[in-house]
Amino acid sequence: MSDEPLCVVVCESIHDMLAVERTVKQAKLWCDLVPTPRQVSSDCGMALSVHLADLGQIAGLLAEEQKRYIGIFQEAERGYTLIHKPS
Amino acid sequence: MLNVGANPGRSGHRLAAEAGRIVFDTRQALAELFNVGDPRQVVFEHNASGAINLALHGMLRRGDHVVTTSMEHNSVMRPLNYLREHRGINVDVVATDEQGQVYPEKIGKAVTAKTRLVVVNHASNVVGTIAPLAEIREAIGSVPMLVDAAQTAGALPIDMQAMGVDLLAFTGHKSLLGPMGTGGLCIRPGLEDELEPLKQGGTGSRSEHEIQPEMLPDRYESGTANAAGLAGLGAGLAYLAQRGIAAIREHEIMLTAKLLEGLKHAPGVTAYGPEEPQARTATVSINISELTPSEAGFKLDRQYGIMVRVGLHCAPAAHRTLGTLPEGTVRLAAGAMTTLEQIDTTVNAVREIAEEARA
Repeated sequence: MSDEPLCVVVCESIHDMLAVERTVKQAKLWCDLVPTPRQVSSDCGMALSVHLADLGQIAGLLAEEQKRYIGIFQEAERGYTLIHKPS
Repeated sequence: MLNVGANPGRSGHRLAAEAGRIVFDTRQALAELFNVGDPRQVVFEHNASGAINLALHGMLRRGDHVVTTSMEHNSVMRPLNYLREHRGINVDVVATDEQGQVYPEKIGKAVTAKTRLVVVNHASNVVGTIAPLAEIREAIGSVPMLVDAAQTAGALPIDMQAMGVDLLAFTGHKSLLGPMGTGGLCIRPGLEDELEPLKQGGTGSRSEHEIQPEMLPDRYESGTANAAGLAGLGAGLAYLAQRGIAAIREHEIMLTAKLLEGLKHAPGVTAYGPEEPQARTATVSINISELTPSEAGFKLDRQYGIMVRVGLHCAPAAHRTLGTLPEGTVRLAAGAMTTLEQIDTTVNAVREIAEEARA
């Protein structure tokens, strides 16, 4: 794993999570399925870790392909901060 | 799946993710095959019976009216009769002709203001007669239609949106070439608002809530999935995608034509169902004079190594329609892997058994 800053995409269900992962992978962007940080949500057991630098592109792709997700969160000093929500 | 023994999506580790991907891919492939529109609308069950029960128990309320046909399997008839007795639903069984042909205008005439569901067998599991779904849709207006596709999923092209199918019940272990214990229900987007789930439980999502989640597929899928079975179903779907349903259909029509032609000229053999192979699947029911179906089936198995199902095929209504109650028939079923040589061998075996019985 690189030292680049990361953030996590969180979904309601496993199916939605894997659909998001498929979209990100098809765009050949780095991603990794990780256990959902408890501070974020327990909606789905998995979250998708992605590079913060790819956030804009990923958000665009997810909107274009109408993928469902709750939001994208970044680790902060005290837990996680919501940095993007689907429109 | 061989090296992925994890519970799909129930944990954040790599193997759970990999098992989840296998289930995801199978769901996606089914959504594409049936043109469901959204893979989340494909809900896994153990078989077509499970899917039909979800549709009937989930949709029907006290006083609802249902229209179905006289060619249905017990997977439809038994839950409908149960609901008639225990939930006070009303059921009209519309008669087909003696070959199992469904007439859409008769279905349309049976529909009333209280009709909640029309239930149709896409093809008979006894004689293979294909129901004209698009015409039935036209005849019934906007009433939701549940299609039992146990015999046709993987054998005939199915386009839920073009055919106006609201609920499609399928099994994995027949023409979809998957293992037993797989199947499911495809739900037209939006209809889930009217379809109650039959079970509640763990879904791997929203674990802090003690209320069943509303989103699909989780709303209907509680408990550990049959990931190994769904991996096998995924492999079957990949084969179908590569060979093509149209090519398989063409192959099965050729086999059915050859089988029907061979049996037509066999003295003492009666074949049931439509004469045109295009009007049916590759399921052909026969009887042999002087022999019960079980006697004929036993001879086919022990003397020729040809294994068939005999009797009533869990479809007494269909046999009543065909005039083959109470003995039933001998059912010959070809498939994507069946060869012309095997059809020849079968025709010769049936002829020899028939001649021996007449002697």
